[in-house]
Amino acid sequence: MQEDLDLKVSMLVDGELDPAEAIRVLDEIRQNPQLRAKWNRYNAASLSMKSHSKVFPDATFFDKVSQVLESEPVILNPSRSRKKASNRFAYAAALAASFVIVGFFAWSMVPKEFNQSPIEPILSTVETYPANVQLVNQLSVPRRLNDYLITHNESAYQSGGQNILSYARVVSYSTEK
Amino acid sequence: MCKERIYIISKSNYYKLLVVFLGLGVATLAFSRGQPEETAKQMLMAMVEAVKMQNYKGTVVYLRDNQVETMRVYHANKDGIEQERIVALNSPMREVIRSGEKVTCYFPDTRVILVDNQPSHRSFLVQLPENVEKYAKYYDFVLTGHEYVVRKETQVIQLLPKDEYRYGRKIWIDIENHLPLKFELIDEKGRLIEQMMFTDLQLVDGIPSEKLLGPAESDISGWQLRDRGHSSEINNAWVFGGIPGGFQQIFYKKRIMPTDNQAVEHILFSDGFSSVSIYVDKKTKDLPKSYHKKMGAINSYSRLLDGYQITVLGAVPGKTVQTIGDGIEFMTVSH
Repeated sequence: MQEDLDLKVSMLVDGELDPAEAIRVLDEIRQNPQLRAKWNRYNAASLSMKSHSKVFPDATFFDKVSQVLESEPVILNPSRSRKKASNRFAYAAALAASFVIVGFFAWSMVPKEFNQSPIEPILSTVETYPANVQLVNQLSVPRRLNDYLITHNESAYQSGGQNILSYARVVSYSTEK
Repeated sequence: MCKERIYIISKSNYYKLLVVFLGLGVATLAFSRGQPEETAKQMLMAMVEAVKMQNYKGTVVYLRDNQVETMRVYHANKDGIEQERIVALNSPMREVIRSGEKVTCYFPDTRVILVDNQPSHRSFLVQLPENVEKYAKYYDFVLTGHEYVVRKETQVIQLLPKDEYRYGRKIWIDIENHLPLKFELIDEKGRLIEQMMFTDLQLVDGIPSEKLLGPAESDISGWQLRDRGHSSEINNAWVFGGIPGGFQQIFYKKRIMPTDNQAVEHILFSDGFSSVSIYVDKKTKDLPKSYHKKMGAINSYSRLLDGYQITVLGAVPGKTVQTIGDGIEFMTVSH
């Protein structure tokens, strides 16, 4: 069992283990100090062979580095001057507020223009009315209502209330036969 | 020390700049709002004059209710007397002719001729109030740039209603001769509901007389001639409590309806740009008890009131016709 683990540590250093097995071996290394020491020696040997270096690090080097790192305090980013930041914010907020105020007055004082698409189809649908109101079939215009329409258009034209080509409606309306 | 001095100067200048900026902004808005509205009104008045005085002919496309109608338009002013003719170019072939104060409508599909001898000094092409200024309380007049129509540069003017009881309008006026080349009627939701546009327009020295006449005698032989019999009366029966601001009563008349020769009370209201007709009749089987109907730009509303059928219709929002219709009551002694 121990020989198997030693072999697998060597294979881990050489990158010859599959990921699942590598994770299991690393867990063993972390829990077993002797296995961890062997892991460090194998790594040092591998590095020295690759780099041709004659420096052999201390076996406890990595542990010492870990201890130093754990003992160092957490360093926070130094805070900027609160006074300068608040002033900048105040200026920006005041400027933005001034734009909003002017924009509000501009919006409320200028008449709203029509916001329509020039390619919108001419409206022809019947609006939704309360349920107690009977809707008349839009395609059929009762004779009496048609007469009302013609009379209205003629009268409205004479009173100036039809704006443009009032009699165009008279020309275009169909009559029931 | 130096940094502190710079800090103090910047803060002081900031407030000064803020005040100046606000003042400039308000002044600019006030100035810009006042002047273009006056120019829009002036252009509208120039348009009304041009339509009456000039001789022109052209083809107009009229769109409503997803239908397209094409018409030929003729207008002539000779010695102060206007003559006009609108002719449908597609079936059914109808036409309307104005000669002086007489308006005649020809309906070949029903072989009917309607004649109205009401005095009229208004052109077929455009009818606007003589003085738009007094309607500024209910409409804003806004210039909205230049566009080309039939290759003519136009000034676009919008008439924006200030409440939900009227439609808006958009007119493209030829900058050179002040004729209206395009017109749109826009509902309370900003949707286009009616459009008229010249696809060709010519200013001419005169219009041949045959172009201003109706069908030949032989063509209308046997047609039914209906004169719009009417009489001016005094309204002593009805109170109109739901009339929106700006709408004034134009007339109260009793008319004979050609369909059944029945007498009908007809009251016309107008705010100068939009007109609403109220018809009061005995209850008829031809119309449902109460209904709403929308026909292109026209909304109508009808209801019963103690045996009378009240119908309100006009190129106004549905809310307007219903408000007016629901506000009609019998006139009591106290009124």
